[in-house]
Amino acid sequence: MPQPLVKVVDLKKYFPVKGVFRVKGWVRAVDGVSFEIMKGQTLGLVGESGCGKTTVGKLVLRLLEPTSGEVYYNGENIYKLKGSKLKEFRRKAQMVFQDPYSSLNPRMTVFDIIYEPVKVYKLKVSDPEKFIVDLLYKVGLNESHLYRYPHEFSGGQRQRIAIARILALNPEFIVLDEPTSALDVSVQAQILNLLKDLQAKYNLTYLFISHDLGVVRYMSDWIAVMYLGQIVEFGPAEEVFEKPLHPYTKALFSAIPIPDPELTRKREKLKAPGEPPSPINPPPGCRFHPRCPFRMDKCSREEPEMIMVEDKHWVKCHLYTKK
Amino acid sequence: MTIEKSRMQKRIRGIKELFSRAWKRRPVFRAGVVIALTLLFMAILGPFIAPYPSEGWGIPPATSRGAQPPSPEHPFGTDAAGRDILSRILIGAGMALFQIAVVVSVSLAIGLLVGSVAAYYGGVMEKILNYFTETFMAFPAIIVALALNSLFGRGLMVVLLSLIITWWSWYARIAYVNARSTREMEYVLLAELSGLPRYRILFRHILPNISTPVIVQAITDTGSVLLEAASINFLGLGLPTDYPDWGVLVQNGFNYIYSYPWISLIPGAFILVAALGLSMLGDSLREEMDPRLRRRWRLWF
Repeated sequence: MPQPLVKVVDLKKYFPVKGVFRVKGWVRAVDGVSFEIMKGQTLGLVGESGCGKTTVGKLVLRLLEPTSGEVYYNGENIYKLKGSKLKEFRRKAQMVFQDPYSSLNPRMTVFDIIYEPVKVYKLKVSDPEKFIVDLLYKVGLNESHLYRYPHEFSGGQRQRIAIARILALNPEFIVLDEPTSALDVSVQAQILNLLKDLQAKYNLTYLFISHDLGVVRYMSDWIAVMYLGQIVEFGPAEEVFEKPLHPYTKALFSAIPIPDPELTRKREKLKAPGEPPSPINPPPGCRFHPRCPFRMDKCSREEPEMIMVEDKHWVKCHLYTKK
Repeated sequence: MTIEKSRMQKRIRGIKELFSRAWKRRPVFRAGVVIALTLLFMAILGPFIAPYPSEGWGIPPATSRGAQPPSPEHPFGTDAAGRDILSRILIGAGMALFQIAVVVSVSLAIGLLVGSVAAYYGGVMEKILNYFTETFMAFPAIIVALALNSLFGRGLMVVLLSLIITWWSWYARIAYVNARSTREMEYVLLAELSGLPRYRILFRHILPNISTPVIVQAITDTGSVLLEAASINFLGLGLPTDYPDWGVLVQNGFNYIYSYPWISLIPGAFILVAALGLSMLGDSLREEMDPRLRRRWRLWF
């Protein structure tokens, strides 16, 4: 059995809600998340706004310190890394942000933006200009863009520059935090294809965070569905999409628009009425039970465990029993 | 969202572009530039073109000629000690510009550094520096000048120090507010992530992105600094009596305002026009930087 590149174990992150004199409560942004990603594969993390997707992404890269839990990268606990090992991890694990407008310094040229990390890591580059032009070609830009400023580029081009900046460091693992949600659809497809090509070429591992289910399906090998700080379903992408098990996943997927009115009318629809509850005081038992159409008495009392129902397909719901 | 962003992007462009745009579109800016340049030429060439340089520096003529009204020989007349007022004003222009330059640049440097460090480092540092900034905002320059005067007596240091002490905090505040929002930008996070030392991030990513509004404010302030410096000198707290400073010149003639009005009025007019010109320059730049200000301006007419 090969080792996973990234292994997350029972990760928790609570943010304090500060009152005037004391901490009034805790926002349980991430509450016991575990998953693994194999080298060269993509895990898609889906869920609605505010369910903790981005926090997970930041925890995995140690941009935040967790309340508890561990993340292993190549078998090493990243929260215990120090000095040169931490620096090496920081080089190998990178992030692409949602907003290409704030991820590039408006006062620096493309050359400076891409070359900055190279300088910081003191990578050996004999001809910086050629090195960066090569990178620009890899992401579909060219040498005419070298000395321009970010405001001269479109959103899609900026995202390409952000990707080039990361590629300069020769990374292994990239967290993609909604990399296409600020772009229009035709540009989205270009960026997604670019990311797929780069993955195939350099054997990259992705954690792909998105609320756009179509995009996630296209990109991912595995899917993790998050609800209120917890993963409620985990499995191979195609299987989760074809046979969703958790009522929340079903509700989520039945909200995907289909461009065919006949099919739309015929398909089974599942609704989850109401809004997701506040992560400050999550409901007891199963967190989804107030909105769940299949709730039982047990659901409001006991928190279900993550169980493997089919081969490599986990779900956190009382409706299913362990296989 | 995208439109909003692209507008923001336009607003934070560099100071050079701001200058060229203001020059193209704003007659007020052009007038301000002309006055500022005249002042600069007076300051640089003053010691060479002044008809009576030694009188300009404050030494009375060998044979006293007393206060004379303007004449072809002395276009602005002479003061009570018989010194040529044109020469005194020309030499004084350099003095005025020197005071403005020192006060504004030192305050700007302190303000930018304190404001951006407070915003970027956060925590205890942020609290302490902000308390400091707010405390210094409370002092009026003339009171500080009074205190310094009673400690050290009259001198250039009193003018410069009292103005710097009361001025830097305003730049610190503007720098702080802008740096707070720049700090949250993802390129700062990315730079932190790639292991760039914090002080390098401050100088490379934060300062270049916050400097434009602070520098524009500083340019606007040059006129007020001139006025404040002149009033401190006029009140006799700063430069000594024979010094070729415009504020001192006004003060020299103040006792003879009814008999020999030109001694005070002509240097006073120079202060007025110079301060007005510098403010016009700065204000039109600021309007160019922030289009919302422009609209408000139009409403007044």
